[in-house]
Amino acid sequence: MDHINNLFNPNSIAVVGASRTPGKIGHTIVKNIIDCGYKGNVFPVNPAGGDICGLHGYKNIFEIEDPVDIALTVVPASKVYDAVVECAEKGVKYNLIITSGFSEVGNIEEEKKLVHAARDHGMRIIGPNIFGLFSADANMNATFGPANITPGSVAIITQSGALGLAMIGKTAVENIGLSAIVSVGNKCDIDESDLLEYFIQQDRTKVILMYIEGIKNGERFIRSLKKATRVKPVIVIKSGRSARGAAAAASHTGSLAGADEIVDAILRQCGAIRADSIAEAFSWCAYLANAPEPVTEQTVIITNGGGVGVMATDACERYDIPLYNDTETLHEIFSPVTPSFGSTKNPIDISGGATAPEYSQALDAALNHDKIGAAMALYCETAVFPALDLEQMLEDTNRRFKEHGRPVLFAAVGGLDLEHAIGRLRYKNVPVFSDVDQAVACMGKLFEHYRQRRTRCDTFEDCSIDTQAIDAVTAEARASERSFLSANESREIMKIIGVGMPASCVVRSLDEALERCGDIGYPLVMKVVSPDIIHKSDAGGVVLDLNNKDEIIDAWQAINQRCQAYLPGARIDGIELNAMIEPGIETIIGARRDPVFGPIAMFGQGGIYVEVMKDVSFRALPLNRLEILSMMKQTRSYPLLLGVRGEAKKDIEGVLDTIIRVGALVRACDYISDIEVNPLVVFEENAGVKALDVRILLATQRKE
Amino acid sequence: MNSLIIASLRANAGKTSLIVGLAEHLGRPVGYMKPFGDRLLYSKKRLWDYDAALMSNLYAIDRNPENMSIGFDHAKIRYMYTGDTLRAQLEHMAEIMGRDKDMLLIECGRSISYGSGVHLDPLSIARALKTPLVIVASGSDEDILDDILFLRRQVDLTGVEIAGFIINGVNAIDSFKELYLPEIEKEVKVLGVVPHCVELGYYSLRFLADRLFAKVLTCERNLGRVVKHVFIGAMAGDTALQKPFFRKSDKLIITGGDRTDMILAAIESDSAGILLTNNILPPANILARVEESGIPMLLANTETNEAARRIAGLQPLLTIDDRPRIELLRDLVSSHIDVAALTK
Repeated sequence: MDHINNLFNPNSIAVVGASRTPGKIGHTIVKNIIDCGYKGNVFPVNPAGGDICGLHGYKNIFEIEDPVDIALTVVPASKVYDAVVECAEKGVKYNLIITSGFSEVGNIEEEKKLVHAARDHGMRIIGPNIFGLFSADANMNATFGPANITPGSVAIITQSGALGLAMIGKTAVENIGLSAIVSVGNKCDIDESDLLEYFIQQDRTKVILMYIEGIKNGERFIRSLKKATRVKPVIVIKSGRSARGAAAAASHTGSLAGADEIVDAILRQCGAIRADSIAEAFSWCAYLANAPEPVTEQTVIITNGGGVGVMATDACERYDIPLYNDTETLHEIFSPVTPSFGSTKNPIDISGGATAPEYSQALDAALNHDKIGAAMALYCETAVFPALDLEQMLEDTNRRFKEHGRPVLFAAVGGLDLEHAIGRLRYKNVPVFSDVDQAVACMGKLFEHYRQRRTRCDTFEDCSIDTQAIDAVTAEARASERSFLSANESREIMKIIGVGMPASCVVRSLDEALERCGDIGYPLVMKVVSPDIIHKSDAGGVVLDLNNKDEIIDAWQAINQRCQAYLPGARIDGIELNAMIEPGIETIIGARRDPVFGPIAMFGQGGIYVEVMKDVSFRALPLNRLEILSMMKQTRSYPLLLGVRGEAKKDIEGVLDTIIRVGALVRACDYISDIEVNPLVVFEENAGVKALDVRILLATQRKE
Repeated sequence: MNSLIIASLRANAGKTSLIVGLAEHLGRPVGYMKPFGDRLLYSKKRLWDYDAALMSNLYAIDRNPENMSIGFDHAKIRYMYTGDTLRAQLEHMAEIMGRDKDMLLIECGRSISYGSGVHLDPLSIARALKTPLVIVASGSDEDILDDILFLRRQVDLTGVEIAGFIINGVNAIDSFKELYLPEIEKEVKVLGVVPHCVELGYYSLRFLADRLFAKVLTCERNLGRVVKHVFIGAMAGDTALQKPFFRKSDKLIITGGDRTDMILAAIESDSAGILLTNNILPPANILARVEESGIPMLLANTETNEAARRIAGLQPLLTIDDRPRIELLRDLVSSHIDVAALTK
């Protein structure tokens, strides 16, 4: 961490490509550094030398006698490589390459050369294609964006240069102070994971906001993000929801795991908060940076208008905010401060006739009771309580709640005076909103963050996999570069990893069927095995529930005759005998190697309608039982496993166990790209699970 | 009780139809069995032959059709029976099925050799049951001549009592009687020569849909319509409308779902039905137009050539409510077969 500390607290900065011409990026950066109050050494570098912004200009970096901690490279793209080499040789620790024209325009090889050149001398690169870096700790504005950046406690990591600059402007409008803003650009070297590691331990940063479009090293990102959210809120705007269509539909997991579904699931798994817009993100940043950690989530709504109270109640349900509902205690607390025609049920309606002092009393009543963890105050502008009276009241109330360590926020609806008052209050970091939903969302995200901190467990469960045995089963398939395993091979793999499948065999004669039916056990199912008959059921090639040899004999005749009638001349390679299982809940379990995030798991409602219902959820592997259960609970069909309409609870443990095993398989064998069990039939509690069908795909040979 | 075994030299010679005609003509209680089934029906773990069910229903035979066949598959027969036990089973079945009946009609499998591998071919059955055998011959005139004389001259018929031959489905009957029949009658007894009857070859759209595993897209209520002609719509719709053949009613048009011109031409020209191939659905507006026209449209997932080939080989099955055809069969038997000689 000392190393990356140099990036945010450098003792010296060189600007390679500094310019004496106002308006040029090389000039703006130098000026911003100086004007922000940076106390370290600043070395402008320009081949012409001379005076740049009142500083001595060096003709090249080697002219600088002192060590240089960080350099900003602002030269044309064709000169960047030489500049990077020189900086590396000089011993610069970090090079922020402002210049664009590399991988973002397809110039990937040139970018790779920069990284190699830097790494040869232990230098790290940020960018290329960035606007720079601001660090409040160092009073350093090394960007070509706005000169005035208010210091504060929100750190921003942004992949978009232009958007990042715009966000700086917006933070000024909203008076959101920044601890840092870093533009990561093309991420050829340092990426968001590196920066997260820094912000985790930086005291000044209370909230981290990330704007990302793509993620390079997903597995590392997950680790860093999980570490970060254990201590600080991380809010993520991830764009590109529609960037990539579903992966090849060779497996349901692949076709259901659209890029954004995975990202969403993983962000949630890591405890991050996902925002859909900059406005939302800033709103939450501002609130989370200033709101205290809630001791309890029990919330009251205090309102002078019934309608907004109902809206807030609805919003609380949406954002999973528990409303304190002990009516007796509420009556006890609020009846002294509520008129008889008001309501002491939550939301507490103090009526439209309430004045500022009465409103303040109601809020104090909430503050003074230890059963109430947080409060939301809703205000509708009235004649008896005009906007001008509100401003001071809210400021005072906010201060009191903060002093007591209780979260509070305000939503106010009214005219122009009120809007102006809201603007002034927000500038003083009083959490007041003109939209009820926006307000409630902030509280919801606050609770979400602390809830996941309290309940999340990042340990994981694994099981040992006999990789040698797996290698032996898959050897022929890999040698012949097949992309999938046969039914028999897949079945063998399931046996090795301990996932039960119904007993099965393929027989080629009636005699053999009658001989083997004892091995399978009754009842059993017979299915035609034919490369020419795709839809077995349509052809009459499937017979269920056979209980004795006579039935097997009849079914044998039926299958053969019907299949020949369906497709005269069809090749029939045999008939598969399967043990017929009891009815159960059909689920789907999958695991695959996501190109970004590595191994991921899927769970959902299984069966033939899986791609129609799309009732699935995802997580990054590895997982623990709690997280798997959380994944399962996300699906609409989860209640079926709890037992509905008088049915018994199902073997959820069996499902958890199977997911762990399947996940362990994908993690242990990197040549397996997908594994899917559909359906995994779940029986009653303690009666286990059975995989009826399994499909295993192998990674193709075309690896980067 | 009289018994009679009915066999054929080739498949689809019309055995079942003649049996039905004979039973109608006789008008007396008949029993039926088909030792080696070949029109398997399987439902709810019950297995029976279509023809057995048909006969049971038509003639109120109070025996379970499931018991009228020993099996349908060589594998089963080989597994369950030896030569002796099979013979015993045949005898037992014949006794049960013929009890209280004036006549027991025993239908053999599709051809003279079918079932040989498991001793259930017609000759083996005839030897086992010591029952007279009637053999039905059909095909081209030369095929009929060759088949009958081959059997007579080259096959060991020891122990087989051949009651006679019925020649079925003859196209030019006068010419056959003049040119071929005398040659045949020199060596075998011919019980009758039945002319080809085109009405017997018609089938309903319901039957077609069932045989082709086709989905019904429109007008399911009209699936009883009979197909008398088949037309493959390989030309433009306008051109087809000008062809004389296309103007026949009761025709089936086979075409692809993307051939809207042909579908519309089919509607315009009063067709019995339309069969779409290759699983290509037509646009919704075309479906609506066809529905309005009352013409059933079927959708098969086979390609056109395969569909046409299967249709060409279709042998329409009798159904219990097909009285016109059953009476026609009765009349054919009455008019063209020496039933007295058959049943003496």
